[in-house]
Amino acid sequence: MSQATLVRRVPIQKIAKSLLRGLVLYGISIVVALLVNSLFIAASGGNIIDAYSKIFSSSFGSWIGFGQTLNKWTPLLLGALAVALGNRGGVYNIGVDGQIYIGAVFATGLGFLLADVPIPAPLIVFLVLLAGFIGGGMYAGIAGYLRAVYNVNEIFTTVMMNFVAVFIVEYLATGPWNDPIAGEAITLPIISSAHLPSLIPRTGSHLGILFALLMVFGIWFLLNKTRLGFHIRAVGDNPVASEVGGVNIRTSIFLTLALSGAIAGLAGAVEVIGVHGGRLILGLTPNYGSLAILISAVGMASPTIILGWSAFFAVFFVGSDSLQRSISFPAAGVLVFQAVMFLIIMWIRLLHERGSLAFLGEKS
Amino acid sequence: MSFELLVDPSLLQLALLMSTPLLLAALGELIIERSGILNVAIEGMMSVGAGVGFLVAFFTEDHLLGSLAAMAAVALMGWLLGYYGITLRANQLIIGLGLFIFGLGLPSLLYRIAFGPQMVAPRIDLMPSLAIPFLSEIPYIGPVLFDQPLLVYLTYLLVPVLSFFLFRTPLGLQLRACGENPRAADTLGVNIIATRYACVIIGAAIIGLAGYFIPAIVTATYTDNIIGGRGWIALQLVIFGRWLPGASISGALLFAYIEALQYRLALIAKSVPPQLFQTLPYIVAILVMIQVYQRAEKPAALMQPYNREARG
Amino acid sequence: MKAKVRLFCLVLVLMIALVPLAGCATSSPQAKSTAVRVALIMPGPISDSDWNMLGYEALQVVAKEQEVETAYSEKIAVADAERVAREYIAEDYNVIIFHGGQFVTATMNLAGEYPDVTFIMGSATPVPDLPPNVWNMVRRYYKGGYALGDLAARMTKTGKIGYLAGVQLPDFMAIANSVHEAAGKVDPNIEVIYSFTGDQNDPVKARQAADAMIAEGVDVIIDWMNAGVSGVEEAVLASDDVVLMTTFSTDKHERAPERYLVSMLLDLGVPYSFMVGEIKQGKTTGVFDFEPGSGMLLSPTYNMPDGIAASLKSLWSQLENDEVIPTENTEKLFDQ
Repeated sequence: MSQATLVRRVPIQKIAKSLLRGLVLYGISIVVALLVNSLFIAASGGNIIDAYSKIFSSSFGSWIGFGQTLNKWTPLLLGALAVALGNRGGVYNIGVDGQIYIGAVFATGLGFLLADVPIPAPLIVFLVLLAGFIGGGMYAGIAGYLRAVYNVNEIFTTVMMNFVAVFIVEYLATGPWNDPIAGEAITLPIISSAHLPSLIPRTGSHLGILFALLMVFGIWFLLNKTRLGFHIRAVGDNPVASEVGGVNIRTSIFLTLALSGAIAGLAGAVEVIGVHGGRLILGLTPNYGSLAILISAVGMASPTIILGWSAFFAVFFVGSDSLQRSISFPAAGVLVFQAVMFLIIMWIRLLHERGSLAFLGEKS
Repeated sequence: MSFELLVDPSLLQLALLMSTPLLLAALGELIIERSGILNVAIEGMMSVGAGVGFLVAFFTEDHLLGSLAAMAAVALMGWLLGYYGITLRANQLIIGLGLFIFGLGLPSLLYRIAFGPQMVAPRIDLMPSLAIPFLSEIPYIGPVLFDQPLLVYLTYLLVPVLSFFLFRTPLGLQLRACGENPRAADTLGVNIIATRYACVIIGAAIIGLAGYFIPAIVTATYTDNIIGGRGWIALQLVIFGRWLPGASISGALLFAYIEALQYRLALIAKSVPPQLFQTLPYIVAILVMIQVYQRAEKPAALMQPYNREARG
Repeated sequence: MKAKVRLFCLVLVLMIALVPLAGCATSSPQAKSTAVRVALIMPGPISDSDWNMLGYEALQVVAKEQEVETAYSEKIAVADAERVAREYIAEDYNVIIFHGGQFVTATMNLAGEYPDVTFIMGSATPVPDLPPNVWNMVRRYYKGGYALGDLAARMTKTGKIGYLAGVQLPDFMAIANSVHEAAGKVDPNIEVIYSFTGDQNDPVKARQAADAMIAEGVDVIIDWMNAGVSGVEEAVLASDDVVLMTTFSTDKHERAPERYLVSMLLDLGVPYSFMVGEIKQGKTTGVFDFEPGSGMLLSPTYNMPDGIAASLKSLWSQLENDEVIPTENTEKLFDQ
């Protein structure tokens, strides 16, 4: 028996069958979720078919909608990647919103510092994004340090730090960096050469999505092809065994949280120079962090799967605003929508894993 | 800054008042965690309790009905968490976070559907303070401790009651066993599934009541984000109190005290940005937890779904 | 399981990437409609009984007085405002009103791209380099604050008046300064105590801040919060001392009938209807000063002696006619 035959070739039929099963499973969960959500639509007195067709047509039925969906996809994707990286490393980063803010703070601050420095625009953009990355990383690093050294649960520290981050941004946006013309919690803009170029003209969409897509690859590469990634995964899967195997758990946990925060910080920087014209504003993140957690869970902490699900949630995020105009659906419903979708998708998946959905065949 | 500022009776009275929702939510969560379930949706649950309770209290003009509605609505959420966590054996943390987000949005949606644009914000009458005769006339501490709404007294009374129940009754022992060593408890005939479901539903109802406290006793209205992070604080109070009812009191009082104090300090220290004072309660909470985490021992089977058929 | 899910996701992404091509084909070129259609974009919920509700009411006034078609979106975060505006523009709305000062950047971005659409934006001070298709509504709250400061100074028995607001922004600081200026003219010994809670809409914080002020001896509170005002009301009602209050934006006296003095009402129908009217006649740019007499008015007065009520109303008329002009100091607070 040669070496070659030890590699089993999976027959095409099996792959196709398995793919079909997956599509059916997620298809069912999406349909059920939409049905449940239509109850909310009906309760607000809207026409369900109308509403759903509006959701899709406004998020990608036009170039503007599509561009805006891309804009929303970027922070959701980056945020979910941040959470997923944390999960794989065995930590729960609930502080993505705070890290987005602090990353934005660092990015804006560097932008102000570089105002009179004559360097080419692409370099400034790179430096500003890097500042966001570092800022978010440092902020999450505090939680990582507390966890690694004092064993304080990072769920708590990251949540508390979310609140602190909001106060910091509020101080900066209404105090030293405030733009007095606006009369709101908004900063002055950083130099315009730092702003992200637009992706699709006349839609307001920016290049940020490219960085996010790069990050998908980056995380995948980190986790699967590097030594650090291996350590991270080992600590996440089985801390005891990895310690026996010589991995320094504390360092790994610290680095995992820091990296996770760094990705979130990058999202903050992108929002500042891509969406808000170089300004830090209070309200930069409308619960992106919480949604990122849901997306990462649905995406099973895998970068490529998250790629798809974050797009899906972005479509709904953008689309549900149109419900306000089409059927006067209250704005508060959007969060409920997303949460219900999440719960239903998880429900169907859990039922399947439990073997309760026999008609779908065996769990693979 | 004088010492009198720190122990001003009206400050202490406010601190005791504001500590109640924290303590009550922590007690509810304690019941849930002692049975082995982790519920991180407290913030969302309190939100639902506040919103649903407010709406019912507004339309029925009755605090009792408002309280019951708040408890019932959140008990339903508790049941949902139980279904995912106990029956489907899902990751309780993730599901809890999903329920948290759901809980943030739902009351806002209901409020908006119930009221559209209104000239004056809908308002309910606050639960009145009940001054206990004799005791409330004790100079200085009388009004602070004994001139508070009924719910404050009930909450603080719940502490020794819960303590007694958990540690001195057979039912309490069963409950704790579910959280410490479910397999052993199972062999001795304890119904783990039923016990955990009961705990998560009852605990959630208590958390719902804690949420209702805010509109019913503090603000008389409902606004978005009215819970303001208190649910997360309550989550940590359970750990701070080492899963013992009595020990959570000091944490609740400390946080509420600092929160109330920050406004007094801000009036005095003008040159300091007010946001710095606003971060105080949260930073203090983190610093305190550093101390606490060195010594706390959680229920051994916390967050581990129980599977009868599994080996080991 | 993982491989097939990955595949599914790739398919999903591809689908999303391809659909706009279909969308492109179906979206028709914009028909130039001559009728003015107005869209209002609001940062908060219209159930707030405050700023956003006022915006909604103003829109009804605009619809009636100017006979135009209207639409609105509420609870639009700043991050989404530009997108929502573009969607309205794509649906042929040619007047976009941004309800609040958070939207200056969004307005400037869009104004350049859509020269045929007129925008109305609010701000605290006049915006420089106003594009030819933008109307700027400049809010001058501090003028109203002057009148309230004068009133509070006359009504206080303890000599301490309080000013309670949310975010410490320049124009809210200007109000504190004009309150101080007015109080000083009545009696230089009056102390003005201010507190910024950080959130216009948080009644819990408002209650605690108001409690702190009352403990310091404040007996008249000038409240400048939005939805957070209920916290102040509850603090005032719970206090054993008699504490009076004024509010801002709507008349809320039913909530605290015996403690309520007056409110500075905002009638946004006045500025918005005026500007839409001008736009209908082809004037697409200008500055509207939102101040006493132009959208800001006094509510009925309560719980004050007739003499003081009269002096308040006469001071208000003087502010309307520019006979009295308070100093506008947005740089820093009076005691720093």
